[in-house]
Amino acid sequence: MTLRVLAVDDVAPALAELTRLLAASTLVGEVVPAGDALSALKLIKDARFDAVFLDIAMPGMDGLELASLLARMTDPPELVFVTAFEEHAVSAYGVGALDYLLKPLAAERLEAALARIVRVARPREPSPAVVDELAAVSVELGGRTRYVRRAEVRFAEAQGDYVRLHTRGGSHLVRMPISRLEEHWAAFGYVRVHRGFLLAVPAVQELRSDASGGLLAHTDAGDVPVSRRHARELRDRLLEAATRGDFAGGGW
Amino acid sequence: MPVVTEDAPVARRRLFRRAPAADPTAVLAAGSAIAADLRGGLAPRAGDLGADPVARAARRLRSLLGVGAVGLADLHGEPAWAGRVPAGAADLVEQVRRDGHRAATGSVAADPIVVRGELAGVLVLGGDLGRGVARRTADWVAEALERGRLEASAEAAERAELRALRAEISPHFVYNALTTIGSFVDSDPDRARDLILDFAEYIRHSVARRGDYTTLAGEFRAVEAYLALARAVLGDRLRVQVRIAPEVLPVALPFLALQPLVENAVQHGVERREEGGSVQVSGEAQGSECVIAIEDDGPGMDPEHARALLAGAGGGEGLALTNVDRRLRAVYGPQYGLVIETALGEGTRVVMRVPRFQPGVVA
Repeated sequence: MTLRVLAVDDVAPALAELTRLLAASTLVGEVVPAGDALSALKLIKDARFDAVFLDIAMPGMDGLELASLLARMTDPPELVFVTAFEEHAVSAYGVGALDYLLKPLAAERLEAALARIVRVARPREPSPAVVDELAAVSVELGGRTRYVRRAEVRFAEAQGDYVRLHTRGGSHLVRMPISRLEEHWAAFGYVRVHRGFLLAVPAVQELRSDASGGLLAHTDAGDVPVSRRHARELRDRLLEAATRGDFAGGGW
Repeated sequence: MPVVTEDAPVARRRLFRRAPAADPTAVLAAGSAIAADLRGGLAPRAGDLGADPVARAARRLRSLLGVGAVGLADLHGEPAWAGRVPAGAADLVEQVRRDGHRAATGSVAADPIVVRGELAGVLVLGGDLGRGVARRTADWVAEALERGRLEASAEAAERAELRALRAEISPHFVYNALTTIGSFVDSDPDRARDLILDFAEYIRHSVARRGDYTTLAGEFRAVEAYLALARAVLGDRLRVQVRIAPEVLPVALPFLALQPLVENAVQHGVERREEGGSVQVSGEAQGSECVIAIEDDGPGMDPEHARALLAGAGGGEGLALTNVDRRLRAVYGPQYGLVIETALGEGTRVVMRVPRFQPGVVA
């Protein structure tokens, strides 16, 4: 299933950019642009949309007003605000927005918002994820099978069809795609920071950016490269973890 | 019908009757408690009527003066009362509000409260008190109100000054950044787009108007955006390393306490040298404090000159340092100023320490 989305902005170039970025996502099937809140309202009444990406400051009816009208619908589309001002965030979430994006739009943030919509719009069938099947991973060591506990793994590195699990005591090669590991470990504080790296957020001892602007996460099992498109998410996750006090005991 | 009168004839002996020996400490304490209650003005604070400070002031005045009823009225609305509201009091209050003169009927008197020559409210006393006592009480209330106003405007002025001390965006840097972005539009559109996002982040942080504090994470985001732009502008001449420990990311600090120092290091330590230079920024926890250091390997300066800069004697030069230093001291106390380690030809290291948790400093 791909999403059918409505983009609303009164500034023509901004609307064109929003529409272009939405259309470029593989999660989006169809984008309909609207230049003001009233025509948006008409479109929403006529046909079903999965999500509305909405500017706030518009002449006539503004985004927040349109949002409060939508909130009265039975089964309204998901709402994502796109605006230049951080100040509106509180009122935006107050009218039930799913996400809040700042202009100018970053493609990664837009993609993250779309992923959230997909998760909400199509809640996964109750998966057997309740069974934590990868709490430990079996590895071959000298012809014998051993188990590496997830809690020991600071980060995982993709190597072809294998992943290398890095722990303080050394690393272990496991035949498994990194995406499968990510799927199972995402709920346990692991985050993809690079195409080839999955990192335990509480294992980060220091964030380092080097001369060329590249970002590295330092752990006691080695340094992990952080790609530009994942940098923001990692920073946000680190801030959350630090605010919870996850590093209070000196981390790992 | 209320009547404006001279004082009702007062039996003279009342004036000479010994007042019950009051404990002066208690009187002074009551006086300052009332003054504190009146700091916010005479308008009753709706919402928490039980804790309305104006009503509390009225109750305290009543027991201090030993009268039957005390009313404190703003220029509009219902007065705050202590004791039984005397008959006809409402009319007296209206009359004083209208013409600004004392009004009395029977044993109830309403006195104007005048702050800086303007009517600010009405004091109603129900009970046998001389005109002189009523007048002096009204004057005392007026002084308390004026003090409250002065304190409020001093606080506002201090806040405004701190905000004005936030660094200004350097037009020089803005034009350089835009020129650089422009040059990438054709040759490397993706890079141009990324730099525009960095530029937006940098500007957004610099003109932020939500409150006075941000987190170190927010400040570092702005630093990274600035550095991405500066790298684009200066190319290989700028070598930067940023290191931050995650546990200090949530530390609250004044907006733009760090970023101007980084800009300063890039400007003085790198930009003015043909061969370029390196800048290192670090943030880490040391016990209950967060230590942030900004270091460059540029020309450095005479330590005496650095001292003069912090003292604000550098003219336009070093303004970023002076401003940040003053704001840190104002927020955290005099021991939290900047420390500059430098010597001619030895580069410059600026160290900022802030408490990791400070009451009242919330991002």
